[in-house]
Amino acid sequence: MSPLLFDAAILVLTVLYALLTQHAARRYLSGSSGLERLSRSPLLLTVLLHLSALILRGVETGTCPVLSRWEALSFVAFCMAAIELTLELRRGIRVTGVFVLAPAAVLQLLSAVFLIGRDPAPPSGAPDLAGSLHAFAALLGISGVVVAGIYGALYLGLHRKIRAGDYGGFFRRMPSLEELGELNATAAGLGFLSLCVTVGIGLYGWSTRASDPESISLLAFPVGVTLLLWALLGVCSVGHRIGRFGGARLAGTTIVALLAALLLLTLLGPKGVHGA
Amino acid sequence: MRLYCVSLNHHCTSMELRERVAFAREEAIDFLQRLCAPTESEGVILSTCNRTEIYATGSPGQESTPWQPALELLHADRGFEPVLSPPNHWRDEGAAVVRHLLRVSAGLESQVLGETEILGQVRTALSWADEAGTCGRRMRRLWERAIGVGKRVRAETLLGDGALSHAAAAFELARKVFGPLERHRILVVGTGEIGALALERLRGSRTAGLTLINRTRERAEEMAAAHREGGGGPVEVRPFEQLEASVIDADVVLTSTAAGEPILDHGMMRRIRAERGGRRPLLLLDLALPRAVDPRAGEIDGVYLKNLDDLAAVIRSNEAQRRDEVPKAEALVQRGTDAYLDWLRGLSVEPTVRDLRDRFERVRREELEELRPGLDAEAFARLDAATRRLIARLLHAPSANLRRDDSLHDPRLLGMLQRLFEEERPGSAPEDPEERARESDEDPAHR
Repeated sequence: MSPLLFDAAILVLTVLYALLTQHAARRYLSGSSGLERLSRSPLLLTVLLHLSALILRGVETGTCPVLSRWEALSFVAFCMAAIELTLELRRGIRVTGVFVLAPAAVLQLLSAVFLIGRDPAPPSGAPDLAGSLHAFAALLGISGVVVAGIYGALYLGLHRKIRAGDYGGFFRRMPSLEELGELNATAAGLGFLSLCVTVGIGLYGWSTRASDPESISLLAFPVGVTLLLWALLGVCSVGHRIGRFGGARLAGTTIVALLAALLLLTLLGPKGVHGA
Repeated sequence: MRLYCVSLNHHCTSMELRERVAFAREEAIDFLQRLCAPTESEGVILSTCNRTEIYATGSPGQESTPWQPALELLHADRGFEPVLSPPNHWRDEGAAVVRHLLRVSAGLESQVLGETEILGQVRTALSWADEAGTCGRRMRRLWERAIGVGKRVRAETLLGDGALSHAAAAFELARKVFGPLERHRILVVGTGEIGALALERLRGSRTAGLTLINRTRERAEEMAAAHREGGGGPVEVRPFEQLEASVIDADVVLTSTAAGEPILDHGMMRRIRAERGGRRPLLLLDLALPRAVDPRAGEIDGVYLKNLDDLAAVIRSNEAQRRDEVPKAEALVQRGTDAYLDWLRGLSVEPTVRDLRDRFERVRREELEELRPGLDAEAFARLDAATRRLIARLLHAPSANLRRDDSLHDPRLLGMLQRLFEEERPGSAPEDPEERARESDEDPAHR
């Protein structure tokens, strides 16, 4: 991909995310059934375009197209938008989209600020398929955690409003507590499944290279945070599925997981989690 | 055409008078036929519990009070004596009437701001006029516009959103916790007034189960039977002794008892919560006064306890929201009014525009036919298309300006315009030689 095309793609995607956020914000603020019925095609279009750009970049680099922390941010933005689209298609609730799409747009903007004007040349060397899948699943998992945390926060917000008897705009615009709880649990489940793949591949890679002095340590802080995230989401997903864990407790746990994910994102070094 | 309206509504007419002038279907049809037949005018009657309104058209040459025949008929039929000071009715004509009907349809004139029933009543009024044969082109367009604006207001604003009664607010809260109630069990405890209203509201909705408990079982059985007869689903009546077990099963509990002390105390609620376990929330809607549920029950994890004050707060919040939406609804009404008046204005110039086009077309055809012998088929077709385009282009601006510009809608001006393009009839050429010479001077073709 030429530097010009690379920059243009990032710029177009950033503008699309901004427009998407504005569209979602209008839908949330208007709160009317008319706008609620507005098509979801802008979100679908953005996700498809971003996916195409990632595939092109992936073909070019021969790996998961996350060569720097800034590309990772854009990838997380894509995963968040894709998860939101999945949730909208599954649950049919679109009024809360702005709470997921606005942070995704900020991540995409940050990514654009640092990526535009840089040399996008791919690294030399043979492609590492297992490594790519590991990175892809890890970022998808983290995105699932972020989305679950956002829905957890919305759940707790509405829960408190109802308890406090505050029946203002937030109360009116939000879907029901049960629906928010389902969105929360579905996003946590997606994150957990992705992190299962990440941890599985990671453990396999670690076991085959355990004697290598360059190999990463399972005790490294970012690896520990990832494992903690995985465990938290496991508790949420399994507990919710067997009917013992839900409501405010599930929401609170996913918020803790979100904070852990944010910590992990700030720890991302030039070589990703393992290079910190 | 002069569109007018006579309205007896809750703003200016007493309940007694509104009762006296309200129309049933047959009465409205008969009244409309008697009102409109003599002058071949158009008319529609809108009759609801809060308003009776007669919309009709008068002819341009009519006296300055076009509504007089309607008032006289109302007087003769219903003994309605119109009084203007203080007024016991409202009447107006023209644009004000269009705007009024659109506001009515939008719910802006309703006693409960934004209520939705009025839209159905506007539709009914149109169907009555159809049956009476008094709904002409202009009136139909007006009512269709009113229905369209009413729908848009409901779709694009929050004017009709949010419950405004205690029973409706109770279910709004329930839906905010659980979403649609199809998969949830509802328990009604007590047969108090609000409980009965809540049960009535549930008639149209599907639930996973509806249970009724009352100290006097017979009363509960009666209420359950009335619910079923009114089109509601099955209701299970349980004895009061099964209260605790029934609350364990339920998702929403609505209490409307007249007991002096709580029937669900804190200890019982803790037991119930422990028994329910898991993550199922429980919503307690305590609509009784004195309260039927210990207020401390609301502190238990997973239990939401709401009372009459909470429902009042929901209603207040919804009222405020509806008031905030009024400017948006007014803007839609204004747009609808303007669009209808534009259409109406266009209608008055339509015969003139059509006449002009017909004349130009006739001249074009005559000239073409004269040329036909000297042209082959292809050349003739090209010339036909070119002259057609020429006429269309020449007449486009005058037609559009005529439709748009109000100052050109004066009947005298329209008459002048028609005379201007009137073809010269044999013998109508100016006889005066001086005048003929002047015409020749002014006509460049003669120079």
